[in-house]
Amino acid sequence: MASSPTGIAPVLQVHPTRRCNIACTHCYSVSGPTARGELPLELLSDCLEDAAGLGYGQLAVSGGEPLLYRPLPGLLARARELGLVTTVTSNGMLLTGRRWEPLAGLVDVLAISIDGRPEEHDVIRAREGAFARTVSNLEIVRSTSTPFGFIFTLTQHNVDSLEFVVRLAAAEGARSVQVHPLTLYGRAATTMQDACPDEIELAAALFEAAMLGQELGVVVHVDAITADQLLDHRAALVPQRPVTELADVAPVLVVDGDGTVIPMTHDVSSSLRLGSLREADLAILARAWLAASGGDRLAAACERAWLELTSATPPLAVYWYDEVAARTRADASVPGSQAELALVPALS
Amino acid sequence: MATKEKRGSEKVMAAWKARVLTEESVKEIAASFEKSPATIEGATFVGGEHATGLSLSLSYDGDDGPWCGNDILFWLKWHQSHGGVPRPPRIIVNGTPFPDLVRLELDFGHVGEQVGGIQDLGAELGAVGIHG
Repeated sequence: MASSPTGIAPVLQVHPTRRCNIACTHCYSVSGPTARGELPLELLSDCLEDAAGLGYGQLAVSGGEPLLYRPLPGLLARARELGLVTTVTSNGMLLTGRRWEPLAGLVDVLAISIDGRPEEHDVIRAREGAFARTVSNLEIVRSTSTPFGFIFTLTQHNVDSLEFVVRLAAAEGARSVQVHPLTLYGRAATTMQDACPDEIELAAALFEAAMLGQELGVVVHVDAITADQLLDHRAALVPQRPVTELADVAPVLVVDGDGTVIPMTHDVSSSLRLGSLREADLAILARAWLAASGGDRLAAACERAWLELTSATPPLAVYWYDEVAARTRADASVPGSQAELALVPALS
Repeated sequence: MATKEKRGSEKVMAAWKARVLTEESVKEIAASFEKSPATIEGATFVGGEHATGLSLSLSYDGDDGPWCGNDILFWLKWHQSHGGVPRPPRIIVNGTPFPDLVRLELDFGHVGEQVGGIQDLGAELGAVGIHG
């Protein structure tokens, strides 16, 4: 099975609905209480089967708020049948016993978003009292012994809050804290334009993560790599061409709330999307995409990102997927550089 | 005009600088130097009642000179645990290859510019006539 740059089994990241009880300022999927529509369970079950066949070993359900997706137990059960590891990312505010009990035995890890101290969290969540409600609901998760962790969105201005979050994780029994750099996509592109963390903030996060993890016994993972890792792990970061397996070039495969399949991360150029599950099964989309050189183009963007970042003094740290995504968008603006994806009409 | 929001890393650094020495961290220093053959020539706390740093002036005689490496290692590990803004140790070795005397200044925590640097140490040693 192929592995991602972080060594984790390739992940199928599914956003079955954009419906959410809150409308966070940093949301990359423009989810919120007024969003409508969801993906049918049958469509996602077929997608899971194909994904497992393509080498994806983990289902990560996000949203929108996954707890508002009624067929969630069925989706997780199907993933388990296929041998996939299951994770669910939630804002934690709707974690009542009634909602959680049918899910508890089907989730390998529950990831709960915590974005800093209570007042910071509430501002980002655009809801007063959000922090208190989420933290008070953790007891429900603890009572079922399901492993859980926190997800912290890193901005240009909040690495100083990471210590609070890791200490909270240690106090509340969370096993890990994942630090995910803000992506300027969706709502975040308009509300948080100046908040994308630069190399200094990413490096500070890596440093804080190492120190706090050691001190408090919590696994703190930052979705960023240092300059040394960038230089030392070219083979893991730049897939070999020709690309013959989707998972080799897209260790993260996103299924968006409208069924669009996106390799790697949301903000990859729209010309590199595989297409929509509403039009064809994932296995068919993947075959057509590879045949139309989608994989090679994405691998070429990886190579270009690596070469550009290492040609002079590399940055202290980078969020690799963002770097690659930026190259795919630059690429798409060059006339003649886009492959014909005749079988897979790109969705905007 | 809107106030520009500070970088997170600037706030982390400011917090490190303002971090008050804990009793536990000072006890660790005391315990380590009890084991060391160094003579403590001077100790300066910076920050008064809410001390943020401690500067130690140490000397090692004769065969004890190499031990200063152990004390520098402890100094590094202490900062890993307790933070602060590490300022490189100032060291003067008097006599090579077999030094008669080694003088070392180590700062723990954040001492700012309030304590003397290597120039002061050199002048001090020069004044007592022990430069080789």
